[in-house]
Amino acid sequence: MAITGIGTLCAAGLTFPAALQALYRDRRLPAPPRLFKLDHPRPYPVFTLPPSPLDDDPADFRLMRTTRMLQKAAGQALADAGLGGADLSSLRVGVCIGTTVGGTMNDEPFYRQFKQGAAPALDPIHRFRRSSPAFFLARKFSLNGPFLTVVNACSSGTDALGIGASWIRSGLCDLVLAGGCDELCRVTCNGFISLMITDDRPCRPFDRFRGGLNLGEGAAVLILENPGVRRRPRRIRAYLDSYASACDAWHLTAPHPEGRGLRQTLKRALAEARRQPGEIAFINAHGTATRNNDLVEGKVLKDLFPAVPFLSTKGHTGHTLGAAGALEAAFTVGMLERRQIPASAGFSDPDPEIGRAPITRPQTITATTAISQSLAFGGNNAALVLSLAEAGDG
Amino acid sequence: MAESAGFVNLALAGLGPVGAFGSGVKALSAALCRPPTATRPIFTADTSALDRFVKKRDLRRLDHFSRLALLGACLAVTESGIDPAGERTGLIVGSAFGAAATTFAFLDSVLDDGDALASPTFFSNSVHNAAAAHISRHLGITGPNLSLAQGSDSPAQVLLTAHLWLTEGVVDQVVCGVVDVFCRVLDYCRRRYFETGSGNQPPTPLPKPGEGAAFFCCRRPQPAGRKPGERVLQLEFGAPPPPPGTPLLISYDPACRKRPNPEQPAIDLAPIRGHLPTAAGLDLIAAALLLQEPARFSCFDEALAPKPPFSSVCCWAPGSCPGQKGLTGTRYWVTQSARDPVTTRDKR
Repeated sequence: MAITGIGTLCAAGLTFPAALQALYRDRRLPAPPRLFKLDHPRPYPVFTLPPSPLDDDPADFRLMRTTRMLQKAAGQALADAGLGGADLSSLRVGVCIGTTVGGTMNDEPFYRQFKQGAAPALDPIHRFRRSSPAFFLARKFSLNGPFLTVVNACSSGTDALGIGASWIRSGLCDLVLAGGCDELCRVTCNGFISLMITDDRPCRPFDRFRGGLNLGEGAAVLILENPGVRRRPRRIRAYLDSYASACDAWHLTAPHPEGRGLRQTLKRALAEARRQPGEIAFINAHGTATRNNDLVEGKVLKDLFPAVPFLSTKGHTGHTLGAAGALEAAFTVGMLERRQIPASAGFSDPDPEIGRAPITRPQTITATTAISQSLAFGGNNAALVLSLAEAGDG
Repeated sequence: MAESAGFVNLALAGLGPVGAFGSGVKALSAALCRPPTATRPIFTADTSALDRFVKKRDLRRLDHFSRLALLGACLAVTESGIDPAGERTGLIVGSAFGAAATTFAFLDSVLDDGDALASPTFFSNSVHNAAAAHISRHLGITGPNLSLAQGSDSPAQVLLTAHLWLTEGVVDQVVCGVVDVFCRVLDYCRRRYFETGSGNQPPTPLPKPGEGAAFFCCRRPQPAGRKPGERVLQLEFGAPPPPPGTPLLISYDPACRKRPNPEQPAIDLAPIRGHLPTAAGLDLIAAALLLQEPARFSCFDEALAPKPPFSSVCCWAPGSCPGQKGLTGTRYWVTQSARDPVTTRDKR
């Protein structure tokens, strides 16, 4: 499946080129949320987008911040792919977007009024309904294909890409806008803090002294196209060679201690892509910096890919939940194009329990295939095998 | 896939309905035979039947949303006779609003006790895919696991994804379904939305709210000479209402201001299930049961009862297709005949 356009927004940058460039700089700025307040004994840093017009008074906007970020990312991706309105109307185009916040009605001010016995106005509800991510994009661009919002927690973005690709393979669509989006909000911040898996310092994926995750916000859209559909001009950036997923069926929030589902997922992803571990240039890991995730994920990578470098980009973006899988797939493509992978931000001390460490300095790569993987609440595991397009593919 | 684009082909090996009528196929069948008499303010669903499948101790951390879904899944699996454990079984759960009541219970913990005392149990169960996590754990399903939220289109998207997984050989069987719970906050919004004529909808008498789950065990249909009694489901997306003469169920949608064709036999099952956004799931199961015993139509309106024999029943759920004009939705065709229902209906 051809990837012909990419658009992203995250704390690392408001465009894909800016964010990708930021990954190679040893500079990250998590801070307490600046758009809302939390009341905890200690402040927990998060990764908020750089200041932008998106920050204007949210009450004035007809759309949730989640969907406004998605709109920007989709616009960037379409521009990157050279796709205009006439192109979209002549093709069967689907939309598949992963989210968590964007699919949950949890407006706190509205509920506070309701709880107090008032009859609150429905404006927040109208905004929520209007903001259904996939439907919003389908309506905005008058698209005639299927549209779907995936709510698979932290693997939603990866799953959305996989589902979008299956739509094209089945003949339902010629092209899919696939990705993920999630904003920071009090509900998710308070929720993750209550689970005691957040760090009150900048996160340190795979580090021996890691203390948990930092949340982040962002959006990413990748344009998936049927390589057989001819349109000019078109530049293929990369290929989505395979997608696989499996469930641990173990625990609501913790991964299987032996990474049962992740092992199954990775083996299937490689088999579908007809690749061996030795052909993989690098792995863009889920790497949230929680004790459980990094231990399990690190052990599986050590067993299945003992010589393949891996890293986590969450040290630069935070954990963007529904956006994470799509954002990290975009970064994986960018790193393949650049032929270099950045150091895994936040890491300094190897964990002997894991037995392997992510890369600590930028590294040149020669192989042209990589894996981007996600683990999620509920024991979901999902992986994408991505490969670089050759010059002139289009 | 021999069908034209937009068609889905699934064999419904097992059905698991849960609603105000009770739980299981027999309970729904009994409700279809019994003309609705009294109305209820809320069509709530009871999940005590879960005791047959899961130890009480294992249920203590499950909220009502997850219990509904788990009960529906267990019923569908039991009716199908399949063993769901393992990586060759997939799981898909759709919902319009997810575990809404639990989400607001989490907000209660924040508003009542402060940010630092937010409830981790409510939070983890409020995550959209919590129900799917509980189902996979109890049934040992280690194949792909997906939760999706696409409003009233959720049933169609669940079944489409199941079809794609089966067609591509990702799995051999899929346990899939939809679930929605009653939530007083959503009910408030619903009443305000329609009774005040908001959102360009004229004020209309509201049906009573309902909750429930509709689960299926799906497999690929037998390729030739269908297995006797096999129930096959086909979907058409972005379709207009089915042509006159089709035995028809409509998933009631208050936004559907009038029946597309007044002469079209149509049945509204809201009197036995209440209104819920993913009603099409329960109506599909009712369609499959009605196909087996068509005389049950008469309990709703004898004048509307189609004259048997008929080979298929259609549920038509109005929906939105941004790129198409006019009234469109999803046609769910349920059939038990070897004859291809496509030959009996119009092509768009």
